[in-house]
Amino acid sequence: MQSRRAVAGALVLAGLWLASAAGPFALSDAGPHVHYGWGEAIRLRHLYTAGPHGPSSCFLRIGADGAVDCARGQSAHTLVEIRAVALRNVAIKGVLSTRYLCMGADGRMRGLPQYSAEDCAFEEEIRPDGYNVYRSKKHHLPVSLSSAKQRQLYKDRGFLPLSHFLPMLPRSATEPENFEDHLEADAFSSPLETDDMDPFGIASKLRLEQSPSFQK
Amino acid sequence: MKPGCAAGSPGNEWIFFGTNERNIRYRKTMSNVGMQTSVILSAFIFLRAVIGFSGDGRAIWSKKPNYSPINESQLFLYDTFPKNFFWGVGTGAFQVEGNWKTDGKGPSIWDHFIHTRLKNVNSTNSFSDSYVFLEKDLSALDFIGVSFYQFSISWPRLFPDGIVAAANAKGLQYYNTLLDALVLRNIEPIVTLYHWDLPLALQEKYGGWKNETIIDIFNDYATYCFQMFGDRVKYWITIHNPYLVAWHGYGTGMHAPGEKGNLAAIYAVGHNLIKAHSKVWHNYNRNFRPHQKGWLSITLGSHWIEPNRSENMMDILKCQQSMVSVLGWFANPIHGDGDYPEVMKKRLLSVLPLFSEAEKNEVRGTADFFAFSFGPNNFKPQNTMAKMGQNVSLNLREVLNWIKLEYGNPQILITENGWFTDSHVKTEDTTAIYMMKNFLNQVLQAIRFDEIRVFGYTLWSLLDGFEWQDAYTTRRGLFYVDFNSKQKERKPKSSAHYYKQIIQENGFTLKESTPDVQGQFPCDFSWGVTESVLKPELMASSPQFTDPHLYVWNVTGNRLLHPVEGVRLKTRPGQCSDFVSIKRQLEMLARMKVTHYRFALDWPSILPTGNLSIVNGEALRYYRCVVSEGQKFNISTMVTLYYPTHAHLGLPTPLLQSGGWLNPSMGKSFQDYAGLCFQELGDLVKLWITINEPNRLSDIYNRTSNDTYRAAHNLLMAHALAWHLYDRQYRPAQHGAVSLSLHSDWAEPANPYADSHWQAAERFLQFETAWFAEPLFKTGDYPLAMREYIAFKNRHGLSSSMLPHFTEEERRLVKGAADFYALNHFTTRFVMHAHQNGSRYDADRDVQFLQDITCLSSPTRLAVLPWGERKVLSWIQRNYGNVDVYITANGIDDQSLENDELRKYYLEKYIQEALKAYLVDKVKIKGYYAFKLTEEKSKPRFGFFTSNFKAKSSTQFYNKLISNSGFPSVNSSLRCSQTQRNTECTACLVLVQKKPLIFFGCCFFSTLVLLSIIIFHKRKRRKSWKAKNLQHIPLKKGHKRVLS
Repeated sequence: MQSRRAVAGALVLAGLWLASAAGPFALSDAGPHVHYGWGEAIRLRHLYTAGPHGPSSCFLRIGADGAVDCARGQSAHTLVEIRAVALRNVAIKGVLSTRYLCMGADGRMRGLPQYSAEDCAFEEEIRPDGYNVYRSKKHHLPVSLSSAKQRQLYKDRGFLPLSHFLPMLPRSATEPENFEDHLEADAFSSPLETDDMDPFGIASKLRLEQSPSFQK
Repeated sequence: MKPGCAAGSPGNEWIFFGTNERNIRYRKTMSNVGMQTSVILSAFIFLRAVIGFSGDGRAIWSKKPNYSPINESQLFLYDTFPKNFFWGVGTGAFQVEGNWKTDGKGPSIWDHFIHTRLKNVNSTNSFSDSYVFLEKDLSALDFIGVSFYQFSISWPRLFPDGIVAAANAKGLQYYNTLLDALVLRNIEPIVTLYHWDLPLALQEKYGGWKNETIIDIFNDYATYCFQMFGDRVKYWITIHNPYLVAWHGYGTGMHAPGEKGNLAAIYAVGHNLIKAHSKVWHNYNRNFRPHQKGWLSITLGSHWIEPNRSENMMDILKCQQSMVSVLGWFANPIHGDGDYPEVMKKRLLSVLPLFSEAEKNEVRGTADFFAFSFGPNNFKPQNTMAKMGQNVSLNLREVLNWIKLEYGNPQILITENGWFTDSHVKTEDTTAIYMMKNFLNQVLQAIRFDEIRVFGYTLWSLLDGFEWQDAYTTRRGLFYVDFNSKQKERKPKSSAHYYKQIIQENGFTLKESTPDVQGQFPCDFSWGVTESVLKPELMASSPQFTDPHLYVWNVTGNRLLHPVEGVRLKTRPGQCSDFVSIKRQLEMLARMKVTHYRFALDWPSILPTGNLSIVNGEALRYYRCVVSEGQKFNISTMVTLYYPTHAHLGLPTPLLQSGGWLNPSMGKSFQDYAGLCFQELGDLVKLWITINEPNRLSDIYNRTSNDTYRAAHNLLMAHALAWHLYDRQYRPAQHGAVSLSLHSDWAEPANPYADSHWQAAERFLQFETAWFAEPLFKTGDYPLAMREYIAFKNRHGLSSSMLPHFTEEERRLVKGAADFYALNHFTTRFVMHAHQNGSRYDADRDVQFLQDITCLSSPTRLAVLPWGERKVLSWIQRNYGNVDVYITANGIDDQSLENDELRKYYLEKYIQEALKAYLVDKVKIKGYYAFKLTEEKSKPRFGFFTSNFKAKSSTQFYNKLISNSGFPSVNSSLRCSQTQRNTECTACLVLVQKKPLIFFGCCFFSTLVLLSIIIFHKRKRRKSWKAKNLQHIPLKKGHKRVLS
C-alpha cells in the first residue's frame, strides 16, 4: 500500500516536472540571437543641424539622385541609417535613397550608391553640447551642408556652418513601423505643383525603374 | 438628396427657415403616403445626423472613409457616362478670334491691357485668328465629334463702344455664320456673353464694372443677343468666371483693366457682376424663355482645397472659408439664399456691399443649372486665392461633392476643365492626356458613385490661344496652332485623339483586359513563395551538444567561462534541428501551404575566399537542412545561387576586390561555386536559378555604359558556364533544370498616339529584357534592335557605347543555355521617348517613365496593372517560342500589417492574368512564386509575414488560391492529390502547432486521473480502516482469534 502511494506521488511529481521543463521549451524556442542582423550597431536617425543664424536650421537629406541638401522638416527622406564601420567611425546612409553620404575632394557632400571606406566613412565626435561632428579622415573636413562659397570662407576662418548635427530619433522612436507611415503618406501626398504643366510630377526625369527584388 | 432641398446655404438663420420649410413639405407628402412615413422620417433624421445639415460643405472634409486602397469607389472607373451626356469644347472670343481692329471691331480692355502692360507680347498676328479661319475651327470640331461648342461673343465686335445701337454688321455676320454652321452640323451652341473683353469705351467712360450703370448696358447687349441668336441658342452663359474678373482685374492687377489693391473696388465689381447676371436672367426668363425655351446660367470658377491635418476642426474651417470666399462669394447669392456667405460678411464688414431684402429675392435662384469652371486660372499664380495655410488640390470629384452639399445637388454643367502645357510642347502633349483622364474619371465617379447630376462637360480649350497673364507661354488647346505661321493650321494633339476616343466610347472601356476566366492550373504546377538571401546560421542554436568542452563560470570573479583542461565531453553529430531559423521558416511555409520555396544562397558565406580553397561546410549543411527539412513538409525548393541587391553586391570579398563582374575571370569562379552547390545539394534540388535579375546590375555598374555592357556580358557567360556544367555533369543523374531570373516588367507607351512612344516601349523591352533573353533563348547574340540603336546613337555622336561581341565559342556556349524562362514581374511602366546624351546605359535607351496617377499603386508607387503580366508572357511566347515559363517573383508592398487588402487584390488579379495566359494564350507556365515570404523592418512591406513573423491575411488568401489551383468553376473543380493531402493534413498541422497545449492537456489529464486514483484509494483505505476498527470491537470479545 505504502509503495503504491509513493509511486503515485512520484508520477505526479514527474508529470509536473515534465510540464514545467517542457513548457518553456515548447513555447519559446527562438532567442534574440537568431534574429537576423542582431549585433550590428545601426541607428535610424534624423540628423538635425542648426546654422549660426536660426532660420537656416535643417535636416540632412540624401536624395535619390545623389543630391545632399537641407529639408525643412523630418520626413522619410531625411531618415538616415548610421552604422558603425570601425572604432568611432560610421557610415551614414539615406534609408529611402539607399545612398551613402560621401565626401568629394572639395568637401562637397554627395550621395553615392556604393560605399567606399575612404570617402564615405566619418569619424564621429560627440561634442559637449550633445551635437555630433562627422569628420572625413581623407579630406580633413567635417560633414557640412554649407555651400561651396561658405566652404571657401571656412578655409580662411576655421569655422564651417551647418556641420554640427543633432541625431534625432524618428518621431515615434521605438516603433520603426511608423517609418512606413511617413513613407506612405509621402508617396501619396507629394506637394502639388499648380504652376507646372505636370502638377503631379508624373513625368519626372528622376523616376527610376526599380525592382523590389533588387532594391532590398 | 430630394429635390425639396434644392437650395441651401451655410447662413445659420436661413438654415432654420429652410429646414422648417422642408419639414413642412415633408409632412405634407407624408400624410399622403401614410404607411411609409415612419420609414422616410427615420431615414431623413439619419441622413441629417450623418451629414449635418444640407448646405454645409464642411462634411466633405470631416467624413473621411476608412481608407482602403482597393475601395471600388476610389479606383479608376471603367464605365460609361449617362446616355446623351453632353460632350463639348470651349473657347473664349478674345483668346482665339484675333483681328482686334478688323471690320470695325472696337478695342476691348484686354487689347488696351496688352498694349500698355504686356508690351513684350506681339498681339498683331499671334492669335489663332478664328475670325478669319472659321472653317478650320469647324473641321476641328468635326474631328473631335463634340455634341456642343461653347464660345463667347466679343461684345466690342458687335458694338464697338459697348452701347447697343446699330450693330457692327460684319461682326453680326460672323456669329450668324458660326451659329448656322453649328446647327447644320448638329452641334449645340453654348454661348457666353461676357468672357472678359469689355469694350474699352465703357471702361474709360464709366470705370467699367465698378460702376452700376454697366448693369443696364450689359442687359441691353444681352437682350440684343437673345433677339438675334436666341432662335438657335438654347444654352446661355452670362459671365465667365466673375471671381477672376473682380480679383485679378481689380485686386492683383494681373488682368485687364489692371487696377490694384482697392479691396472695396473688388467687392463692388463682384456685386455689380452678380446684379448684372440676375438682371439678364430675369430678362431672359420673362421675355425670351417662353418662346425660345432655353436655359441660362453663369460660369463660376473655383479651386479646391484640403486640410493640412485631416480631422482637425480648425483646418477644416479654414478650407471652408477658402472655398466660400471664392466660390461661395458668387454661388451663395445666385444658387443659395440670395446673400453673401456669413463668413464673408463677418470678415469684410464695411467692404462688402449689402443686398437689400428685395435684391436678395431678385438675385436668388437666377441660374437654371450650375455652370462650373475648374482649371489652371483658379490655381495659378499663388495669389489667385486665399489658401489659409491649407493644401490646394485638383480633386474635381470632391469639389463637385462640395457643390452638391452646399447648393442642394443642382444640375451641373462643367463649362471649363483641363490643364495646360508649356509653349514648347507641340502636338505630343502626353501630360495633358493624363490630366484629362484624371479629371474625367473623377467626373464619372461623381456621377456614378456620388449621384452628382453632371449633364455636360467642356474641355478647355479647342485651340491654343492667348492665355491671359501667361500670354503665349502656355497652351491649352486640343489643337496645336503655330502662331507665327500664316495659315494657322489646327493640328490635332494627342489629347484631341484621346478626347475623341472618350466621346466615341462615351466613357472609359478597359481594352487591355478580357473578362476573367474560370479554370485551373494543372496538378504539377508549382505554387511557391520567394525569399531573398538566407544568411546561414553558422553556429548551431544549441551549442551544448556540439561543443566538447566543459566550462566553469566565474572562477576569478570576472564572470567569464573558463574551459576545464583535459576534459572531453561526448558530442552528438549535428542535426538539422540545431538551426532554429529553419524551423520558423518551415512553419511559415506550412501555413502558406505552398508546394515550392525559392530562396537564395549566400555566396560569400559558402566560399569566403571566392575559390574552392576554403569551403564553409557548415553553411552548406545549413542550406542542405533547409532543403531536406522542407521536403519533410512536401515542399520542394528552387535555389538561387546568386542574388545581388542594390545595397549588397553579394560577392566574396576577394572577387569584389578584383573588379567584381567587370573581371572576365568571374565566369570561372561562378562556375566553380555553382558546381559545388550542384554537387552538394543537387540530389535534392531540381530547380536552379543561377543569377537573380542580372539585368538590374545595370544600376550598380553604371559608371559608363561600357561598364554596364561588360558586366552583363560576364554575367551571361558565368550563367552559361554554370548551365553547361550542370548539363554535362549533373543533369544525367539529378534531372533538374537551370535558368536565370530576368527582371521583366512590361512597358506600355505613355502616349499611345505617338509613334515615338511605341518605339520607346519596344526599345525598353529590348534593352531591358531581350538584352539577356535573346542570346540565351534565340540567337546567341544581343538583340539586333539594341545593336542598331546604339550604332545609330554612335553615328550621331550622342554616345560612344560599345556592345561587346560574342566570339564564336561564346555564342555556342550561350545559345540555348537555359532550360526555362524565369521572370520577376512586378508592374507595368509607361514609357516615353526622351532624347538623351552621354555614354550611359540609361541614356542609350532614350526612355523616360511616366506614373499614371489614375492607376492604383502601392506605397512605393508600383502600379497595379495585371494585364501587363499577360502581355509580357505573350511577348515571351512570341519572341522565344514555346518555352517553359516560371514566374519567379511577383508581389507588391502593402502598408497594412494584418489585413493586407492591396496584396490580396494584387495576387488575385495577377494570378487571374497568368491563368488567362495559360488557358487562352497557351503560354507554358509551370510555376508561380509570390514575392515574398518575410519583410524587414523599415523597408517596404512586401512580405506575407511581418518582420516579427506574424502572418498577414494574404497568406490565407494565397493558400485558398493554391488549394483551388486557380479559379475553378463551381461544378467542375479538379482536385489534385497533393492538395487533398494538404487539406487532410490540416489536422496534423494543428497537432504540430498546438504541441504545448496538447502536452499540457495530457499532463493535466493524467494528473487528474492520478489524483482521482489516489483519492479513491484513500477513501477505500479509510473505509477498510474503519472496517478494521469495527472489526476490532468484536475482537475484544474474540481475543482468542488473534492469538489462535
